[in-house]
Amino acid sequence: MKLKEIAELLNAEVLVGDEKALELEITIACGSDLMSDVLAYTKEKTLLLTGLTQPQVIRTAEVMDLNAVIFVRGKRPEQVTIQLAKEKNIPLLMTQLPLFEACGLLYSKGVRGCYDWRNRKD
Amino acid sequence: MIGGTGRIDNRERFFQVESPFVQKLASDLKAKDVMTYNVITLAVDQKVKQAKEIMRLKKISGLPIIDEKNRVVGIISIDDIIRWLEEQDPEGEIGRYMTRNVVTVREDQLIIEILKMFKRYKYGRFPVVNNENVLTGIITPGDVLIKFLHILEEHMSSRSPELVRKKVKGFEKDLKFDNRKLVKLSFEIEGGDLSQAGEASSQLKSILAKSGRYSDDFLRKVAIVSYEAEVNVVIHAYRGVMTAFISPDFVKIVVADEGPGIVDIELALQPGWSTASEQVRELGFGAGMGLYNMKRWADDLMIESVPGKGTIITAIIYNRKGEG
Repeated sequence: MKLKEIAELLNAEVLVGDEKALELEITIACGSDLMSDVLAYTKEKTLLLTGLTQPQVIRTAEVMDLNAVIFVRGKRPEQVTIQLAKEKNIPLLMTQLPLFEACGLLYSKGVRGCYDWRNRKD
Repeated sequence: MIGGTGRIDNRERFFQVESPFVQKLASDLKAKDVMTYNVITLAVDQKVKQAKEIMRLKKISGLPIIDEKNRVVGIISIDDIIRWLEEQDPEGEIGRYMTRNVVTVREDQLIIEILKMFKRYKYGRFPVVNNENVLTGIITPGDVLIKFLHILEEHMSSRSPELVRKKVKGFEKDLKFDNRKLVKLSFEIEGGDLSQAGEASSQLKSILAKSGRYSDDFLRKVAIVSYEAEVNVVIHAYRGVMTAFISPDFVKIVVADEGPGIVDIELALQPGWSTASEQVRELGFGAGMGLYNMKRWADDLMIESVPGKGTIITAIIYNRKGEG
């Protein structure tokens, strides 16, 4: 699913990201407000859905090579977060939907989870 | 975790004396450069309960016992206090309970030797004596850690921001052109500055990525480990220094901080255990996953900590070919 299709599906506002960024193909996603869990369980090229809007979210995305971030529950990030995402070239979207519903909609369209918990090794 | 195992040895909370990093920091340092000078002492005919009260109030875990000429005749530690408590001897004198075989060090003894002695004897402190065998100070691994941190701090603050930037550019060049050289890169981390948390790891990652030598998988592991270690310093410590030793085959990250230390390393490694504040939790951290995450992604992890003084975390991530 392309990022722009996801934006339409979730009725999301694009805060950072040009035409090219919106062509990005998304196959896996992760929903979490806990950045340490994101660091523990996600793989690269994941879409992150979160209710946290601090710049730390962008740093986490950068460290993990996440490919985009969607803020849920209509939470608008501060300018410093948006600025950091621009610098690091990480697309940012914002939806009014709560985390559960946003994830549910994506799942119903075939986007899958990032953490292969059935085959966990530890 | 792919390959490797996280090595945690809680009994070995000592400096890695063999490490070139420690050797360099300790070079020429002697006991008298590091030791605490104002030592609280007692005499053999004083009461154990007095020792107990001093240790409780001053939060220390051992007191040298001296004779009338200030020579060390014994040491009283928590173990001795426990023995005294078991005997139910409220008026007991120190002479009866103290440990008599005291290992002392000389004022001019090299720190590197003393660190080896800490490791060998597993004692928490050594009284320091002069040539006349008179007590002049006391030394603990914590004193050494503090001294090391001061050396690192001086080293860092003597550089202007421009200089650091130039240095970083130099490193990029090294990474591109000299594959055999171990490149060292240091970053200062300020405790409490949550807005900057992650900046050092982010820089490290982009420098490593620019070399074009490492897989995305490897870069991510390095970045997660350094990021968690950096966030830990920001959350818990007053200040710290992150040093990365970079080679084609591995990256070793050493994060040394001046802070409260970790009282129970085993416990701190449990996922979900945390002492972080509400403010930190609001940033999506402090949920007790930090050390657990480092252990998960590093091939080798070593945690050395002195409660009340600071922590040194050493992590190695190997760049294995054909993985990812």
